[in-house]
Amino acid sequence: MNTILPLFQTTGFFHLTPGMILMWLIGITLIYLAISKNYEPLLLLPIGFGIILANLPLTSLMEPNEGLLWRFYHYGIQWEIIPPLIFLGLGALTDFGVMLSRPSLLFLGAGAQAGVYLTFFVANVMGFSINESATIGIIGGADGPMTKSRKVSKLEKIFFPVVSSLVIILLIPAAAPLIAMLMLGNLFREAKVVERLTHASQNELLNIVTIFLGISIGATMNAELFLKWSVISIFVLGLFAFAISTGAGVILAKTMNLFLKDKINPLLGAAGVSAVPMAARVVHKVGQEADKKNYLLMYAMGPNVAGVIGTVIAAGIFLTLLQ
Amino acid sequence: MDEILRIFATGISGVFIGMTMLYCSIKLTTFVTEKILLKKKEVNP
Repeated sequence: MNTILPLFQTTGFFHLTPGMILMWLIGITLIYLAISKNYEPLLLLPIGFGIILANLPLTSLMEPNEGLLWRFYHYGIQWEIIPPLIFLGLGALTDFGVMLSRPSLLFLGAGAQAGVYLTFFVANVMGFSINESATIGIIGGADGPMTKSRKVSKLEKIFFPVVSSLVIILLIPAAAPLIAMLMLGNLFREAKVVERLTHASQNELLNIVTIFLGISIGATMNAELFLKWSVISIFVLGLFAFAISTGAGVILAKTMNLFLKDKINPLLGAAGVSAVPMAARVVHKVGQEADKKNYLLMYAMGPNVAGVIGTVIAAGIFLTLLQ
Repeated sequence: MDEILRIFATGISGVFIGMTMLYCSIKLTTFVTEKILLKKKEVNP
C-alpha cells in the first residue's frame, strides 16, 4: 500500500476536482451540440475538446512558456495573429455584392453596434474596469418581401475593398489590422486573377487557423478561472449585448422604412449582428416561419457583412479611446 | 462616469460617422464605375 499510494498520487486521478469534471461535462456538451445538432461544428468541436484538455490535472498543456496549447494561445491570439488571418479568410468568402447594391444596408450594421456600447456601459456599472467593459461589450458585435437588388459590376466589386480600406483605416487607424486583412481577402476573391490565393484563404488557411483558434479558446477555460461569478456574468452580458444589437437593428430598419421608397424587411436589421453567417441564417429561418415564400438569406448577408465592418470600426474606436 | 459616457457617445457616433463615410464612398464608387463602363461601351459598342 505504501508503494501504491505515492504512485497513485502521481496520476491525474488523484488531483481531479469537481470543478474539472463539471468543465468536462461542458466540453462534452459542446462536442455533442457540434456533432448531433450541427451547431457551429467548426468552432464548437475544437473548443469542446480544448475545454476537456484544459481540465486534465498535472498536464503542462497551458503552462506559460512551456505548454503546447499555451504556445498556440500566446502566439496565435495574444500576438493577434489568428484574428486577422480569420478575417482574411472571411474576406475571401464574402460577397459584398448585396451590400453594394443597396448601401443603405450599411446602417443596419451600424445600428446593431448599439448592443456593444450599451453592454459596455452596463458592464462598467456592474463593476468591471473600463478595459474589461470594452472587451465584454464587443461580444455583441461578433455579426417581408424585398425589391430585387440591382446588378453590381465586377469593377465596382474590385474597387470596394480598396476604397473601403482607405476610408476606414484613414478614419480609424486602430482598425487597420482587421479591415486590411478582410479587404485583402475580398480583393483576392473579386480580382479573379489569384484563384490559388483565394482558394488558400477560403480553405486551407482558414481551416488551419480555425483549429488553432478553437483549441486555444477552449484551453483557456480551466475550472479554476472559469467557474467564477465574474466569468458567468460576462456570458450573461454577452447574451444581453446580442439581444440589444438584434433589437436595435430591427428598430433601426423600421425607422429607415419611414423614409425609404423601397422598403426593407425589418427582420434584416437583426442580421446586423456580425456573427457571419449565423445572424443571416437565423433571420432567414424566422422569416420563413412567418411566410414560406420569404427568402431572406441573400438579402440578410448585406447587413450581416456590414455588421462585420461595423464591429471592426467599434473595436477600433475602443482601441483608440482606451490606448 | 464622465469617462464612460464620453466613450459611449464617441463610440456610437463614431460607428455612424464611419458607416456614413463608407456609404458615401460606395455611392461615389458606383457613380465612377458606371461612368467608366458607359465610356467603355461608347468606345466599343
